Amino acid sequence: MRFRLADILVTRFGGIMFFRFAAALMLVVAVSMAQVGLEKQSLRLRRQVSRQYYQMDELLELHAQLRLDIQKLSAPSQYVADGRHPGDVEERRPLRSTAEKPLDRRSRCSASSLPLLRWERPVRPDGAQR
Amino acid sequence: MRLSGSHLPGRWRASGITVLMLLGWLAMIGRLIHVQGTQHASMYTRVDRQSTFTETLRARPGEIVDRNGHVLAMTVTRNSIFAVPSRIEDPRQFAWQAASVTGVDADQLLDRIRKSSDKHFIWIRRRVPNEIAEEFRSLGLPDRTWGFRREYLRQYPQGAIAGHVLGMRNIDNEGHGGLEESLNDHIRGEDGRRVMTRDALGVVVEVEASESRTPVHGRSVVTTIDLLAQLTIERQLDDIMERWEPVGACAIVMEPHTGEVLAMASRPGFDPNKPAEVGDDAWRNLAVSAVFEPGSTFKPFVVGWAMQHNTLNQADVIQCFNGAYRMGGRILHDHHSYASLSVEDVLVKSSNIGMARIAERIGLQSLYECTVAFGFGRRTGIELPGELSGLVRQRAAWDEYSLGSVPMGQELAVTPLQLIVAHAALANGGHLVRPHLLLASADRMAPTPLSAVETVDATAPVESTILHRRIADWIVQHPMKEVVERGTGRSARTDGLSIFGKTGTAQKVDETNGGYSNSRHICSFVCGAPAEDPEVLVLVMVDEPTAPGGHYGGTVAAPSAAKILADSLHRVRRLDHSVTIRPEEDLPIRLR
Repeated sequence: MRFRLADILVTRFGGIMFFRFAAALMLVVAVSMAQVGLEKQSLRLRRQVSRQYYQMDELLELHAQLRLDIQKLSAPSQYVADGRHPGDVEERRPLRSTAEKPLDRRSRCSASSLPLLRWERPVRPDGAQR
Repeated sequence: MRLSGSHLPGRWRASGITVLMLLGWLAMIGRLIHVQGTQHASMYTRVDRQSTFTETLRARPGEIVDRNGHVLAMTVTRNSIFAVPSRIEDPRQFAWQAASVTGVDADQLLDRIRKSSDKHFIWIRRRVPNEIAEEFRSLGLPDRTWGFRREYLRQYPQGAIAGHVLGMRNIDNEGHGGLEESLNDHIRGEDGRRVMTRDALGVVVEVEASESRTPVHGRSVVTTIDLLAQLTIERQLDDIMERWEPVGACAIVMEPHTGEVLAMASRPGFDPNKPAEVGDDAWRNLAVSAVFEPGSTFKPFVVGWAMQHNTLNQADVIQCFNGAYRMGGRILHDHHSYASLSVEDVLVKSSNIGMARIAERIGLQSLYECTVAFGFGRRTGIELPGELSGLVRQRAAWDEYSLGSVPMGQELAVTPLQLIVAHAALANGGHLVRPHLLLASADRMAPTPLSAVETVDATAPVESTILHRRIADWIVQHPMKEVVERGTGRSARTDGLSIFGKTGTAQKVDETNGGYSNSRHICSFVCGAPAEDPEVLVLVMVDEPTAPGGHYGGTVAAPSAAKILADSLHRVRRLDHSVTIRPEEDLPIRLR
């Protein structure tokens, strides 16, 4: 009887310890998993921001190219040359930008695994941070 | 006892193992301290070198636009093609295919690939057009043997127009010549950098944000140039070059009250889009770097100065001694003989003797002061590199000979810009202004999404007051107007326009005998309109016309100057001074 009681106590004591140990372990694992989750979310957001910067750069490049085309097409020298009137100026097809095209497989891959190009705070031209 | 005896070696063994383990641990701890402590710096450097690399993020150079927003210089991105020679298995095939699209010499490319077979990077062709880049991509060359890098390319959409004013920007984003050079610090921006960490396979795993820096793009500048006025003078200079076959020529259009340069051109010219085709002589902007004796265009300043100092009156009559006047050890001559001339006619007929007689009245010291007061002998301060200060000798070097030479525009050398600035002082009522190419207030221009607009300090344009308004107005509205009506500048007469002007014809120095050449001349004509309230001033200078037909400023330079004047006046009156200010909020955040 005394022996069974001791077993029960040991078992119960061991169970409590095991429960505590298991609980602590689960807590650590949970915290780690939460951390990993947050890290992943942070990385995903960084990639999104980075991608948006990339897209904005692409759009700026497209804007620059179109602006250049417009300036060339509307250059006064074109209209005045050889006494031509503005309506006589031959049309030029605007150059296609790579930004207009859908990404091919390789590009898509590289886009999904895009390195984190930039996510720091924007800088004003005078160097001050916004 | 036996038991304890049998346990004794085991205890020793256990103790021995413990000691060994302790020693092992101690050794490891010692090594750790050694590595982390004494070798920390070198180890860190090795790790850093192997795992991180820095990429330069180029700043986009700002734009240069004219006063109406026409883009004169801007930057676009182009792909540059590179090869990785160490990964190319069949260099011959690679070179042949790459050369067929890029236009580079296949043999040279093959040679370069073979010579760099252990290297990981060589350029095939830089900054190729988008079409060529696409064509190269479609070649299907083996992966990882080639790639693109994006680089900025400076473009000048107006072609050769205003080439000397703009200058060029090289592949390293450094400005050379023109505004590109003088405003390089504003336009080029500041490169950024991206510090990245890569794994053992070379894949980027992290960007060190704290060590990276976003590039600060260059700022755009708004010039005082009016593109259509510029186009006009470019065409007129082309006509002059074709008709008179001179060594060079230049023209300037200026607003006399503010000193704003509306147009400036020089010949021979160049197209900044084609730097490889620029001739050696074409780099020189004659408007600021040609130094020549002004000739008769200098005469109105002496007359105005003499009147300012009450040594000459409008009603005075000057003895001209029938075309020959002994002055010290030499005899001065006029082109035509005059017994006497009014002050007005001294300028209209461009009498050398009359000018010498006026100079005798004011004296050598005052003549020197006149020269300095009108800004000769020093740079005007325009925002262009390579401006020369001309040549005005020290006062001590002036003698009695100077009293006859300087009033007719000899013995001193000026730049075309100095000359038109001095004439602007006559045209605007007697104020010497500072010529400039940047709009004092850039807020008239809408910024582009590509870069913010540089605001220039609004320095007061007036440097000093030289003449009373009534004297300056009289010179412009009477003698200089009569020069065009009935004098040496008659070929500049234009119906419906009240033009004033002054011709100048200077002999160049004959390098064989050190004297003046009888066959090599510099012709100039400066004019403005309307005489009652001048709005535009034009200077045309032609260096050494060689075609038969004349070498006088009134013949060579005046007709073109009059055409430029008429067009420029038309332009000035149409200039829109009410450009909408674009709110800063319209700009991308990083450009505000």
